[in-house]
Amino acid sequence: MSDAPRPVSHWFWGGFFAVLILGLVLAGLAGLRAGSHWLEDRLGRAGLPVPVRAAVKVTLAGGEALYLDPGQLAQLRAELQRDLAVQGEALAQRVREASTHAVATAFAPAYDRVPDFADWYYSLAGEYGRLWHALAGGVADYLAGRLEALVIEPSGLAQRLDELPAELSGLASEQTRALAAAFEGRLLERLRALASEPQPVRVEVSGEWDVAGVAAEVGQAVALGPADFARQAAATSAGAATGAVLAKKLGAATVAKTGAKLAGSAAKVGLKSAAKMGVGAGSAASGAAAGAAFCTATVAGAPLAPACALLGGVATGVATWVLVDEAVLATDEYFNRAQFEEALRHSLAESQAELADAFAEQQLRVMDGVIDRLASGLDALVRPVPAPPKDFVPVQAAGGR
Amino acid sequence: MKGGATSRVVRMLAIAASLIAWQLFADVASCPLAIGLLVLLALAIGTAGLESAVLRRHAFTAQYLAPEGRLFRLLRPGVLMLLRQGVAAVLLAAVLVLNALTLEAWQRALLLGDALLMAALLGAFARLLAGEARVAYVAPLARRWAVRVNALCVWGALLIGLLYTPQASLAALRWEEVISLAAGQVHVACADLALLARPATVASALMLWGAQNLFADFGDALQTLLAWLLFLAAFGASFLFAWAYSLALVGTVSAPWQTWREREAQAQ
Repeated sequence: MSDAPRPVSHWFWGGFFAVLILGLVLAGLAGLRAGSHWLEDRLGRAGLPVPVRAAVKVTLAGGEALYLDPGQLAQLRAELQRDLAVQGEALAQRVREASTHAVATAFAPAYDRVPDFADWYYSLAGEYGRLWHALAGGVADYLAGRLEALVIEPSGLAQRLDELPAELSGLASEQTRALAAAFEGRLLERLRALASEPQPVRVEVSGEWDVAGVAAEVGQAVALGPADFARQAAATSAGAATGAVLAKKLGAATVAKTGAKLAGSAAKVGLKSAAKMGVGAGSAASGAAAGAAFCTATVAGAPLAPACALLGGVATGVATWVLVDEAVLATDEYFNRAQFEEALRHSLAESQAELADAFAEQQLRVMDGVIDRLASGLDALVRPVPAPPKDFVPVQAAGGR
Repeated sequence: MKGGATSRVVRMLAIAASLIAWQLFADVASCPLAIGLLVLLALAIGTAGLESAVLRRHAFTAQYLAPEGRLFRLLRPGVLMLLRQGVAAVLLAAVLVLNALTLEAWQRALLLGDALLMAALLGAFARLLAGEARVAYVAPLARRWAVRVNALCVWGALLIGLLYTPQASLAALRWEEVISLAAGQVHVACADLALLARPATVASALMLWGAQNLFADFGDALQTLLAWLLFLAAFGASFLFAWAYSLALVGTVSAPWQTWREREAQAQ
């Protein structure tokens, strides 16, 4: 091997050869691309079928075959998925409205029962019941129980809440089936529109899509049984409970929401109790003196004068206590009842809205699953052409071993 | 011979590895990458082809042509030779790249093993020709003969392997289905190369389908002959593949400029 420097001309020719190779490769590929476009353009203008690089064979109902190139198919999928998303939003809105309406109808009688609860609240029985439970603990539970007994149960709300999930599920299921049917209709409509365009030369088919199978896919996707809704119900507070349990929760929730007002009332109860204690102590002492005077005024009563005086005093004290308490309650009712009822209705309305949302969420979870299955199903629908078995051994086929 | 033995083996193994990598990643390889590989292989093949062409041209112009003739003046600069070799190299590189897409595991192993065989052949021919040829031409002649022998070895191995390897049973399919199937098996991310690969794969599958149908229904000698011809045509590309691969391997160790310089020195 010589150490002499290589003449420049050899480097020049080497570089020339490299550039030549690169130029030939690029020119070849450019020519190939241009030829392909030219051919497609010419065939298209002549109204002849346009060859495509790859096609998916789509079999329409009735066996009619349609060939789509992957770009068209991807575009179709994207269009349908966008459409499905829009339809899904509209469906969700309809379900929310239906849930709001159904829950509002169920709650309507409960609002009419609010005055009954206020009547109890501003009664002596109610007052002493609250006092007793305030001392024993659990006044909130007691109030929730009374709300349930006076408002929720008589209005038939528990029973209506029991019926609501099935009613809403039926509605959601019907709406979902309608959405799926509309989806299938749009898919077939778009495919028929594509079938009316010039079809490509039937070469290079890379996948198959039997549209007759779409109906089955859609049917499977929307086959919602009670179990589907039950599963989703378990995930939401509204659906997991029976109407009775829900009504009890609702009572507690309403009481909690009316908490400020009730707390105010409780404070007033405390103040009133203190006033009554003072009044009661004074009236007991004066009652005892009056009793003693009455007992000593009679000959027969003289030996029992102390006991007589005590009994009379207590009775008079209690009567005075009750009279004062009733007067205070009446005054409180006169000034605050309207506000109290309004607060209670407001709390019921809040609970109603939460319940409507929870029911809607329960339905939407199931429907979202269906829409996802439809959307993702579009991708899974195209199946590659099945490969034949690899069992042809040329030597064996020719009779040799 | 250019470079040490290890260096030669590494360079040739790199060609085999790049083809295997291309097959494994063709479905994700971008066009610049794919075209880069095509150019690289074409350069290797072109370098090997150019070396042989320089030898032939040297003999032709020095011994057969009159220096004052027009043909001599036309051929002497070497532009036509470069063009011809460039075109041939690009076509053979395309054969290599397209056929590499359908390599099976045993064929990949064959490519790697053949790089070692080629290194051995180069050494053996260099020793054989050491006392027979002029020193300046020993290495180019050894490379030229190594390409021929290696191409035959690879082709033979490929044919034997193909004869005994189970192929897809296409006889039961309609020809449209064979086209669908073959076209669907091409997964090349670069659309331009896919445009080349699909017709090649489809043509090969159709020939195999024809051969299988004829094999399934031997009627007479003519039919049998036709079946074998179709079958060989289906595998005919394997010879081009073997030839192109051998040239690509040798191209990594070729030095046509040395032969060129020798010719220039003799001309002066």
